Amino acid sequence: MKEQDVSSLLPGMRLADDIKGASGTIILKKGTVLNRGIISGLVRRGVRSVMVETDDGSSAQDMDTNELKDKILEQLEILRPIFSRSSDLEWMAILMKAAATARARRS
Amino acid sequence: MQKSLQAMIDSMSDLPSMPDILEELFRVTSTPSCSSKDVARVLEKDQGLTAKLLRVANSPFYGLSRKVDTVERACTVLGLNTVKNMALSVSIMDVFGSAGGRSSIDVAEMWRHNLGCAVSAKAVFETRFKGGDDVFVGGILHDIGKIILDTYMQDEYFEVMKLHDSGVPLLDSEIRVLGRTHAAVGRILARRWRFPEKVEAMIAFHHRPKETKVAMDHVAAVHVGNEIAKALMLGKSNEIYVMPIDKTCWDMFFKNGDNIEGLLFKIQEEFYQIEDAFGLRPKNAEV
Repeated sequence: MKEQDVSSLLPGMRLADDIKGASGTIILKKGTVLNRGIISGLVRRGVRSVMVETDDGSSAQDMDTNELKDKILEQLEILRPIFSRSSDLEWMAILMKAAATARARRS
Repeated sequence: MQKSLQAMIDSMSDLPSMPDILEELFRVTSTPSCSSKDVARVLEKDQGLTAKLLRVANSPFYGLSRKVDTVERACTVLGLNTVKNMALSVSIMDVFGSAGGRSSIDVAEMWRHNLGCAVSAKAVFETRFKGGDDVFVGGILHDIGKIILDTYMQDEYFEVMKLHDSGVPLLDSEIRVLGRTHAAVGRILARRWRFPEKVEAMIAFHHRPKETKVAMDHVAAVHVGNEIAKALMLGKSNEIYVMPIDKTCWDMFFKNGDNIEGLLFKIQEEFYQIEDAFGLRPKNAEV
């Protein structure tokens, strides 16, 4: 298992530990498979990082990662024309890629 | 032929005046002894505004653990400055919300872009500084000049948009047709309505951040947030292109190795959480 920043969680990842609220009550149980709604909830609650499984051979996660790559490529195709006046600048290319990734993770 | 700035202001003489309630709010909050009760007394005179304010305050964006049901309570929990800025945003969206002329501007999408810029600019600002509420208002209002032009100088702005549609960047199109940009026009309103100096600077210099003499950090955040909102396609600014961000402004907020993807994801989530509260979610949206 490893600690993962909430902003880089992906649907399909599995919690390796319980997540507790401020009062100590369990909000999410160990083993919960994350979906978009759960990840949004964590962002909303201000949770910074969580423990996720890494070595459980979860095919769901692998599949999601590959699917995500395809979606990022799709988003890059959408964004390239509107970045045509700026993407030759190094930092704007970074912005374009980050925007494509953020949009792909929501789609 | 291009109009002089004075002629332009004259032709906008029917610009709405500042709502009385904002005038009173600015006056009350400028006194050092101003309390939550004072702010509540002013804002609660307008029930529509109060209802909208409470809807925004209770949106997941502000993450309150308990619902607030009075303006006074909202002031206590969120702070006077946050509520004052919220009132300014909501109230101006009311005044100009249904404005719009004959050009291709979709006013609802434009307000979504403004909200996207506000959320982005606040998040960017708060990577380095505390208290991004003023920046949020700057984001909401940064393009007010476009809405004014589209409403009060319809023929000229129609020409601007035609030129832009042919592939000329929006600012260049505005300068060619009008001799000045929407930022300069927005500044006219900011002065007429006596907006705080920082807010005026964010409106006037969001495309040329280095030229501001005040609140450079705020202006830089709106400059960066504006392009992030366009990159994430949050609403439509009627500028087709994501334009280059000034490198100095970029470096102010992003250092090597920063988790930019994470920040953009957070901005996107926050935007979709708050657009409902502002009544801006498109009716056929899936999210």
